[in-house]
Amino acid sequence: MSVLNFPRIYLGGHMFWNPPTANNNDMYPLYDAVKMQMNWRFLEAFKITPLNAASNLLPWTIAPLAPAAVPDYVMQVPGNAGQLASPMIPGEWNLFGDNACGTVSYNQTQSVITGGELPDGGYVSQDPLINQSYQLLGNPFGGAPNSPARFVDVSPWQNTFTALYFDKLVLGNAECGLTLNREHRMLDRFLNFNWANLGGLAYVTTTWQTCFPKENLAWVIGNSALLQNLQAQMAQQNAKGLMFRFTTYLTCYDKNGIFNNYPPIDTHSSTPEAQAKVQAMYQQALDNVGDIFFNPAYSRTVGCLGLWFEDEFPTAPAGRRLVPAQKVPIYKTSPGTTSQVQLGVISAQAHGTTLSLDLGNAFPFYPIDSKADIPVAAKYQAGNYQIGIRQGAQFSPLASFGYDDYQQLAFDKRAGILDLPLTVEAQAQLQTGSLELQQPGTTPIIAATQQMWTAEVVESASFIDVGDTKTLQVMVQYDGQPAPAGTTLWVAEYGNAYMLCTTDYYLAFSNAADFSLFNNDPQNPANNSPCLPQFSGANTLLGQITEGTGRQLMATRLAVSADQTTPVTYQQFLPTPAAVALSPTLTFANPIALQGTLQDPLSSNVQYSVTTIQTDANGIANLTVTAQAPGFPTLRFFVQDGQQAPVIPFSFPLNQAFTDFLAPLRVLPLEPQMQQDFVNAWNLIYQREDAGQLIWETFIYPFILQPFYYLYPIMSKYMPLNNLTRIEGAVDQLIVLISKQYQEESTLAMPITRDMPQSRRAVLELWAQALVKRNYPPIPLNMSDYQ
Amino acid sequence: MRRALSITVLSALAGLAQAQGANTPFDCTGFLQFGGDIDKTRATFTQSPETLAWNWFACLNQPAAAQSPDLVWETMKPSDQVYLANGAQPLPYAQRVPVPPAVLTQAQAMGMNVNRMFHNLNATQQVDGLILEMGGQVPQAQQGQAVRFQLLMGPDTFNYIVQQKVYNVNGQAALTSDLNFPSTAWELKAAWLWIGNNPTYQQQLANDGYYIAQTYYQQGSEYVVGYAALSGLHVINKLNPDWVWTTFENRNNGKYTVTNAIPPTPMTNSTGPTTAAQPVNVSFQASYPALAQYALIGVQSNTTPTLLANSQLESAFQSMSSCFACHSTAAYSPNKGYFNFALKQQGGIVYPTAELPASDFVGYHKLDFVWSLKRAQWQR
Repeated sequence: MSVLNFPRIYLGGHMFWNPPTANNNDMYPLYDAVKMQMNWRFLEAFKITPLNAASNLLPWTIAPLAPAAVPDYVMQVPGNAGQLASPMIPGEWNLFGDNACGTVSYNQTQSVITGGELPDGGYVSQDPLINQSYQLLGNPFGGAPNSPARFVDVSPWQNTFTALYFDKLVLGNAECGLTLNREHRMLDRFLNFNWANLGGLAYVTTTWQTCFPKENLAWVIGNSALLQNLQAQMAQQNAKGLMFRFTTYLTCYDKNGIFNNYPPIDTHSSTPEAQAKVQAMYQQALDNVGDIFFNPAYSRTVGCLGLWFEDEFPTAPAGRRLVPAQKVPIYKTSPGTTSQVQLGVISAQAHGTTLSLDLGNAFPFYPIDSKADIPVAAKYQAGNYQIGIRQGAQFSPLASFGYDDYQQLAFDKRAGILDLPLTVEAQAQLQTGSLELQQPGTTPIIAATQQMWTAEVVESASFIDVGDTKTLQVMVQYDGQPAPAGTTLWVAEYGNAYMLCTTDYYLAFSNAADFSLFNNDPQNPANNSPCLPQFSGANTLLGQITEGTGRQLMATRLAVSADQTTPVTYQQFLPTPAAVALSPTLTFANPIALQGTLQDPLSSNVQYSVTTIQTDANGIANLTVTAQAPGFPTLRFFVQDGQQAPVIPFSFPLNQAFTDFLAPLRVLPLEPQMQQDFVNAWNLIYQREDAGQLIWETFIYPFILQPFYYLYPIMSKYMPLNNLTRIEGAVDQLIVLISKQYQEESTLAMPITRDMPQSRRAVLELWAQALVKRNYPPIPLNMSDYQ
Repeated sequence: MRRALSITVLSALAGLAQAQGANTPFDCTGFLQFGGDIDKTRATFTQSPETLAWNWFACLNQPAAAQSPDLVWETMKPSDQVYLANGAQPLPYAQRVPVPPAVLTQAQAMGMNVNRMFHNLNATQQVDGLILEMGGQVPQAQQGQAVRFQLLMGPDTFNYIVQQKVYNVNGQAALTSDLNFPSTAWELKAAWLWIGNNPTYQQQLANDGYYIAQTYYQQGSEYVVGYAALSGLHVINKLNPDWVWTTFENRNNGKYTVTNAIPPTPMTNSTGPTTAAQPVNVSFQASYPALAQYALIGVQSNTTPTLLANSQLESAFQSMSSCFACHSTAAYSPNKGYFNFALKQQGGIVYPTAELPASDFVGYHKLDFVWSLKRAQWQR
């Protein structure tokens, strides 16, 4: 059912995204997020060491870095050289970001409820709720009851997955509105980097979803029929609660002064003058907190609030799902200039006489004027379509639609949802086969086919500590319905091999296997391409060369033999400061040890581990993992269809991740020795009058707070992490914000990226609670004080 | 040290300042001991808390002695001379730690009056852990810099601390019962706009009615010496068992201090002046030219009103600022340290606006609303 069911409330406007960009590692391995330390081996190349970092690191972070100064191993990472053709500022475009996100309501730019749908269908354009604002809000912070929601890339070097933390969604106002209190945080879905090849991140779309149990809702109906209908239908249809799904698209940068009243800045120009100005503005703000400014990214957004039913994934679209198949021709305004692209993901739901398609992420768009202050989107003309049923060789159309139905006006009006009438005959045919989307013609183009199995992890993007065991619930569906009991899922762990960029996935393996990791062109690393070897017997993949990666991706082409490259193997690259080991970070309960030989010149034998889990009567399978090493594992799920075990690939490309069943996790290191070391350090000095200053200088700052000080300069405005006095004066707040309880969900957890290993958190807590809060008592500590 | 408010002033207040009763001038003599008659003072307070608060403020702002360049309140004991870094017993109330010679040297070079009081403005953080940034019409050099604070106490507050030996943490850890300050305990907390040595800016602030004092603070091993302008003043005493909370601030603070928003916006007070304070302000401001730009924001007694804040001292958490509720959490536990009034609620931080249940303080000794005791150090 979901938001595709009736009734609905539509929302639309703009979103802001305010990440701190010094640690995003789009192109430089500045931060070793596995160890949660500055990447000193990388920084050594710039003569920055732990000893001189206090004076040298931030100035380096904000100064343009010439490509010639970048170490080879950084340039070699496929796609990176293409985005480092000219000097780049390592701190990138938003040095002072605070991870905040939310809707924009500034001057003429308003994010509002735009319309709705009656219980039996029928557009509602007049209602007291319409044109009221809506906002995602975070947890209360002292006198600011409405702090912003926050978003965090699960891995700083993998833009694919972003978690959105919030406390509530608020629609309308005190007289007419609805407050929805969080149950599930969000994780972006269907992030389709392929469309970046049309011109960059501005063309990329993603989908977000969360659901709210009905007991989490606070209604103020007022005179709103939209709210009244939604509340009544939720009860009448015995819904579990409400679902909020939204799409973000047309991301743009450097919009200060347009969407906000921050000082205008141009961080995307590579001219020396522009970069000097950025550097000067950053320096000024580093020197004086009064000059700190944000430079958020902005996206367009449309969303829909509807009913949430039992058996529906809370954080990803459920129901029948179509994934792209053949490319379709698209053009802007002139049929003479076509490109070929794959469509995005489409969710489908039949209800009554209506077949509703979620096209929020389905059809590519373009900015009409990319230089406009506030870019406006238009849909590419991507042809006419029939949605139908595939039964073997037979395709039976159920309904048709054309450009008028998915063009921007229609998209904005119904948040990308298209409602198609179904004849009685079509209704009868719905369950007779799989859904398929075709461009009709002499030779029809099969634009999308139904992904019969889907699997989504409810607790995706979780943080786990080394040594901890966690059970994840995997909701599995077949043809949009809960999977039959006993359905088998195979699970494998994948990782990324580079501490920068956003790159392809490789199976985690436990032996010293080696294989060609990328093809290197020493003369021009912009020609470098990833190698994606497969096990013997599996299909091979063609190498691709990209200009940029992830958020920075601009173009992709197939690697050709004319590219003068030589392979660099995984083991050759592993010792560099930009490498991440592909060894397992997780141990599965009931592991199955497997091995395979790679189709690669080295023909390495790879030893790896998988597991199988089965669904229960509700279509839910439980996966239990134990964290064994720090890192950023991505679990991939394979449904066993029939008796044949699924093929588990050794590698798969980033650009197909948006249709795979992936669950990113983060494993935080455990450093038990650090806890003992801290106790020992204090016990050596506790009788000294300057013990408080000493334990700060020798332990708390260098071992715990230092990287966060460098990576989150915004903290200097509120709690400078290099300033003992300021932290002592805010120790009450610090104790609350670093608490384990807040790490999981609070938008105010410190650090906001939650990358505080438990050992460091325990030391920080003990320091704050037992020493600072007691004004550094001349009393020794012991390990039992951690209890 | 006797001063009487003019009959004219009190006549103007007749309609609202019932506390003055028979239009008699307010007698500042011994006002820190409530003129020796606490019951009468309580009765006066009950009639018009705001009028009494203003009378106290006026008394505090009269010269400390004939020809003295210092005001009464400036001669109160600053907390840094009570809670010494080495936890030692402080000097007697009337005796001051000498101003550091390095400060005097700089002061002389700046043409300051070395016989006048020098305030050590040693704090920049408010109780929510944040600073208050200067901004708006302040000179470029002061943009983004912190408003500075100091805490002072009256003789009976000081003497009780010494008597109870709680000027260091050793004494607090040895407590066997809650503290109970005498009724004549007073504390002040002042907020200052840093001027430094900028005569033009100093004159601008003087024109806006700020009281200008000679001040310094320590930065590393150096001293920074300069002028500062009084932007806010808390005045509290224990006339009632759960204390009386009054606060004043300069009406022009929005021109010189800003919020911590990005970009900053002018700082304003969202809790007052209260309706009751407004007419009293008008009258007293008219009668005291030197204090004409200061306004009483309000008087809080127990939880009435629920919220009271000084925009200079509780800037960012005014919407959760209750003097009574926050100070009622003043408590120390040998095991847990000082009570944490940053309450963990709704996944965030809130501050108490009503008294917390006694069960929250098991294992603690209450410090009778006196949070300045947190500044005590250990005597090793």
